[in-house]
Amino acid sequence: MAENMDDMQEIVQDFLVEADELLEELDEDLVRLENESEDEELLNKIFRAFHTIKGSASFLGFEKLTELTHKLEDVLNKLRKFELKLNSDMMDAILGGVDKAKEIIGLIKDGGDPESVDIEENVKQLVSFLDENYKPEEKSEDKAEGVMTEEELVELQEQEVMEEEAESEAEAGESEEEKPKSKDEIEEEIERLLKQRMEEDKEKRLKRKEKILSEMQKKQATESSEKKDDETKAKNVPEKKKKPVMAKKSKPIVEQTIRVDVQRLDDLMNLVGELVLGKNRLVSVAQKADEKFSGDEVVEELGEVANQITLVTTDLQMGVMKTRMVQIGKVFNKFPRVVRDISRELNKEVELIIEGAETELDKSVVEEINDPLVHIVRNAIDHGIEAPEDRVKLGKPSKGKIVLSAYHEGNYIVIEAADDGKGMDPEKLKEKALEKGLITETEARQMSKEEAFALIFKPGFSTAEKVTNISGRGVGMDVVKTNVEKLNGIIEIKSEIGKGTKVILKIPLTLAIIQALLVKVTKEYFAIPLVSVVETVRITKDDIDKVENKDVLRLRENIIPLVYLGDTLGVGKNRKTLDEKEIYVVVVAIAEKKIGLIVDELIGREEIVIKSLGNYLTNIKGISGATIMGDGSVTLILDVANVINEASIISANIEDHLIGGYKKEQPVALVASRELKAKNDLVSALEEKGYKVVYAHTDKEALDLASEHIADIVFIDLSIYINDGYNLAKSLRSMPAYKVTPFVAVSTDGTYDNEKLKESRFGKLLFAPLEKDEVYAAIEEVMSRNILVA
Amino acid sequence: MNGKDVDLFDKSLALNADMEEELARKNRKTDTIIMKDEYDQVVGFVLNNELYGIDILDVEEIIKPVDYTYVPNTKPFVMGVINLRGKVIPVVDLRVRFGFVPNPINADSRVIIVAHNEYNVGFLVDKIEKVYYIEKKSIEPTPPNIPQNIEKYVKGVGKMPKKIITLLNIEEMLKEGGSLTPKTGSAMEVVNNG
Repeated sequence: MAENMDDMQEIVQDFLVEADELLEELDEDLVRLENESEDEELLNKIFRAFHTIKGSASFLGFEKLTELTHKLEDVLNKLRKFELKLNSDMMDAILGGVDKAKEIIGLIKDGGDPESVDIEENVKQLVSFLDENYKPEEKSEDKAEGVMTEEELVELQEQEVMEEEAESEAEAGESEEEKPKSKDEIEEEIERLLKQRMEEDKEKRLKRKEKILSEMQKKQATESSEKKDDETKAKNVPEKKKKPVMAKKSKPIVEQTIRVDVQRLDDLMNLVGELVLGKNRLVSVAQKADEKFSGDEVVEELGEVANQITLVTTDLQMGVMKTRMVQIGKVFNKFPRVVRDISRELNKEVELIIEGAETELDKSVVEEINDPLVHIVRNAIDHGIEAPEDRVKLGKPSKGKIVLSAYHEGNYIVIEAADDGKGMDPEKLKEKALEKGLITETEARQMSKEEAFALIFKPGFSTAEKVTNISGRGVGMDVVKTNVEKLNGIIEIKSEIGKGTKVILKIPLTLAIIQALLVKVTKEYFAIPLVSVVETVRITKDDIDKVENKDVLRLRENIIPLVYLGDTLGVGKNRKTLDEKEIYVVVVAIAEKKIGLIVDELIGREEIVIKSLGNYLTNIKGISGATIMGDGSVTLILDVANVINEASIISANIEDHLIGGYKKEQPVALVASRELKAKNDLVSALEEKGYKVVYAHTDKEALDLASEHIADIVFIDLSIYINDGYNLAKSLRSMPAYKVTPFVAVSTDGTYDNEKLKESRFGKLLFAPLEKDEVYAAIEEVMSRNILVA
Repeated sequence: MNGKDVDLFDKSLALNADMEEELARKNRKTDTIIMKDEYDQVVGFVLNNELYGIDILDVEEIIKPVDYTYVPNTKPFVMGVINLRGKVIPVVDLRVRFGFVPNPINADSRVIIVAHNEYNVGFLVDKIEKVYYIEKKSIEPTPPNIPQNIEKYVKGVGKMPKKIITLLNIEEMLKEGGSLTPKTGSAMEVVNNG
């Protein structure tokens, strides 16, 4: 029994997936049908789709869905036999029916009652077309929505006859005008003509039907003969058979596919992620080995292996990524329907052009991109495209144009939505924002064109005078921003008054494995997703300008706010790490915002695998995740959107972090030792020599202290925790303030590694227990040597 | 008692002298079989010169402190995150967590990696003692002399013949989270309570 239930469940699941796909295609096909109502193949395809859904639905006992699709099928059946002619009312009814079907399927999916949906209205509408008496009126397109009654139809016909009469009269010319008729006579005449006309119509219709039928027969006959011909030819020229079909239909040939659970792909992606980490590690080990034992045969072989693994891993990664890729057409294909509905509602004429629908991107990205695009297109039709009569006045074609296009650019997919509407006026936007209190007057004055365009993303901003159900609430563009931010994407807006607006979205192709720029701030490394990085620049202290006591950088024609990355993360307090002659700025952008982040050091570019910080550390401000580097250390990934937001409320200035800004009254010594005895000996000796001593017990502490106090001399216990003293010295040497500072090593257990000492440029090695004289001598020695170097 | 159902206590697992002594005494006196499920196994560790215990089922492994990466915008007791065989795991300084003076890492310091429900967290402790067997019926509710800031995280106190051990409530400690902006943390609590 339970098994039966499971089986049933599975069948329903399959049905839902199939129905979803069919309905999605239907939307697209139906809109296409509106323009190509004679396309028999298309009609048949739509008919088949309804038929399939009806069949499965009745098998599974979804009565309402069966009834609805049955009626839809009937209408389509008449349409494809050309017994009915498609008009926009009919199209509305069919689309309405499709929407209802979607609703029912949604209910089945969510476990609701699929029979609770009210389909009476839809069925009634559809049935009315099936009625023998239903007269397809070619002119009814101009009429308002709704189904016409018989009376209306007759009226309409009468009207037409009158019009036609008037025309023929006019054509006939003066002769008729000369013989005016009495009222009765006219009415009589009308009656007579009407009858005649109706007869004629009937005949016409019959004829047309016959014509169509004969045409169809002819077509079938020719087709079958063609087929025969083809079949005979097929053996000789197999390609020829395909070509005419291809030309007729731009649709690709059905590909061979299998359905795969997304979860499996995710798992696979995770495994590849682990592999990439392993590969990074292998490469780093191979490099280290090469540095150490250069020329050794085994090391060379290791290098080769590492290279090969790198290649294969990259290919594998691409392969797995590709299996997760879907065409953006999946999203784009919904838009003909969206555009049709909105433009009809607003009485605008809009033509939608889709380019690059075959561009592929990660499934998870596709899911997030739909909503923003709907809002953008909606906005374009509502605010961008002018009413047809206005367009004509402006000398534009009455039909507005929206171009949705997608293409790849490096590791991004670029999606553009361009309209040829009225464009945006930056001044008007500023005014509106001022009015709503979203910006201040000074802000408005300093605002560039791009920044003014970006105002539309502020929540609560709307230029619409009235709230309609299409737009005006000021929510839409905020949604766009939030979703794009979530994807680490960038939004750009280009607009020209009178010419149109173009919204450009740049979205990373995949979310799991990304390229990142590694930077260093204080003692920590951070990875900035490369998609958010616009450029990196090296500046000096003099390049920094001030606007209202905030640091900014003039970069070409742009003014970019500058902040110290450490400040935005709350780790920058009292840190003096910047060399005023060499300040590194990473210009980052998220959605519509751009900012310059100052870092201590640029490390390089690396491929990283995003890992979560786990359940214990959720929602950390400024951090979106972590990754594991080739050397096994953990590096945090910046949440650029959050950092940019944080930057606006930071009061600290760049000067606070300049090494030159460190004020000291007496020389400073940094002592890093885990041994209390050694530490005490050193401290007392140094203090006697007039040093201010800062003391660290671990290497982490030492690095923190070293950036808070610029020491003149450093004593390092070689056995310090957590990593040893050699590594600490290396880290210190990489800080600009400690490039030439004298280092003294202290060995508490008598062991030392001369190579490593040299590498980190220790000036002297002491052994515990320490004698005061020894320490004095060491200070003297390293200080004098330092002067010589300088 | 049905002999087949009884999982006999494996004496070789009894690592501590206390336990062995007790076993010997019991065996001498009553000749009863000691059942495994009458005992809790806990990992005993020292913090600020006191003995604490974490249920062994919650402990994944114990490691020496390794280099960690500081995470900004976390609570002060979060030292940072470490890489444990490809997994990123947060490490909490338990001394700071309980309001003791922080003790710099030394040769005895260890990190207890705890795996509980969906959580994976490391706790830095002063020293690991050993695995203790605590008789279930000798576990008593938290006595009043436990400092208030710790009380919340104490499940009970286990009495052993020669010493007592404070048993920690891991669940309580984990669900608070280490982020300064626990937006999802509160939602997590609801889930756990429900």
